[in-house]
Amino acid sequence: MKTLLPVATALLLFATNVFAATGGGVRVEVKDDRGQPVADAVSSLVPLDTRPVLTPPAEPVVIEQVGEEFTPYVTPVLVGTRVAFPNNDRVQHHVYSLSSTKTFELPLYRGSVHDPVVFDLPGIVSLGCNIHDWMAAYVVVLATPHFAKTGGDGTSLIASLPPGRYRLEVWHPRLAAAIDREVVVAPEDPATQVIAITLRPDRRIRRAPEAHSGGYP
Amino acid sequence: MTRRCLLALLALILASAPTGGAATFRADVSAGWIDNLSRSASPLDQRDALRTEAQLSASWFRATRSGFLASLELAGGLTTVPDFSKAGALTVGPRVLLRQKFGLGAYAPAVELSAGLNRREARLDADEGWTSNAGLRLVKRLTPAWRLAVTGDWHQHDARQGTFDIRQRRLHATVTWDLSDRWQLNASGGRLWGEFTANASSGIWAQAISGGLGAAIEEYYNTIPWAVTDIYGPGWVTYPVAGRVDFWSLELAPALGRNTSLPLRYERANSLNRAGVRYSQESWSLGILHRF
Repeated sequence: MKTLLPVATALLLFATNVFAATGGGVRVEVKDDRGQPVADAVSSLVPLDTRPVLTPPAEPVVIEQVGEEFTPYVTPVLVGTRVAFPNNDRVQHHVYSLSSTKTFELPLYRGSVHDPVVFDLPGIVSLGCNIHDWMAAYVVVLATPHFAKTGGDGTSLIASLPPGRYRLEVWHPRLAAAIDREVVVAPEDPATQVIAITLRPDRRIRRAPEAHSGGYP
Repeated sequence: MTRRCLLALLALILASAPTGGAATFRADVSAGWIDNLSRSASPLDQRDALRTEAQLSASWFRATRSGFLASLELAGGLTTVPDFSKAGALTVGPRVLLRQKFGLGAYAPAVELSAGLNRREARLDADEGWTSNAGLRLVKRLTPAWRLAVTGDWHQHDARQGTFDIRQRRLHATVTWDLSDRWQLNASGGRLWGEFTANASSGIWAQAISGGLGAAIEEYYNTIPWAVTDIYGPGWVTYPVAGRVDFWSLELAPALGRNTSLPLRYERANSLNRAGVRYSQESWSLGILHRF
């Protein structure tokens, strides 16, 4: 604990300096109809007064396949980002997307045999595995560098924002209706935006095993 | 399909198919109450009992880029009927499945061809033998929650004694409805044609073959093999009949986590044999399925 205290203090000072030097931030809190926190909601801020600079990261973002699931379930990326899909399971997977934003297929493999996929258009990309129908994940491709994903507590922080007007957009796999609103970011003002969303029922394909059907007792 | 054809198909698939990849293990355990387990037409003879079933299986898969998947399953199963121990059996054997998926994704229709061969070690020596089966199944997911499967299959048991030899064909359909991520409802129905065994107490059997239950029954029952097996009591007789069975089932299966489910199942079967004898069976069972 004693060793963590200086580190935490340094991080706090760093964060304070970042806000002071580069602008403000927006803390987004996403709740459902019952007031429960919503994880995996992607918040993005599109500048309304300036054109955002889009510089994809040099290293690919990773969506792993482990335990016959995609991890993470939702991945927000900047347009132009490369995404790697390593299969760390003992069984083969066959990753595909039929989404118009990015249609691709990584035929049967284990390990990291395929090159990363470049997500070059903004939009939502739905991923699946052609062997294991229950496997699902989403890549949210954004045309703004200002985005974050909520954790289990339903909150996310978009930091280092130049002051100005932005359009705040929120997306979630079960979102019933599009959410967007205008927000104004002031220097050194990490304002909190509380977003209440209506979630559709979770319609992921069931994974649990099934009995052999039909018979003569 | 003859047994020789089936064996050749099995050998071909075993030699060429799923050698790569890790094994997937699965356990199916269930306990059910069966009304008229004895498959008896006479209400006096109908015996109800608890039946337990357990099966362990290991599967290996190999898929190809064209949407083709082959799997080999080795399974061992144990059926016990505590009140009628002679109705128990142990089975062990391989099953192969070839699946061709037409397209990409969960909604692509698939055709599955399966074939299996099991050694049946029954508590009744006369019932021991080899069971072979083959099936063709068409599967189509309609929505994330709804799936439809239509199956045609063939089943043959060659027992040590001809009384227990059976040949059957079935056609059945299953509709699966995922009510939520946790709850699943399955409805299944179909028809079986062919031979199946039935049982009667010594008194009822004596009436049947002597004309006491009608001329049609007397005439037919005197043409079929039968054996005193004592399966449901002293003097009980087992005999094979030709006929058809209409069956349907409803199953509610909550998921207990990602790899476990707990199916509660109701089944009903209505049998009609060539001599016009009808009887029904009902069963309620609760199982647990776990994929390791």
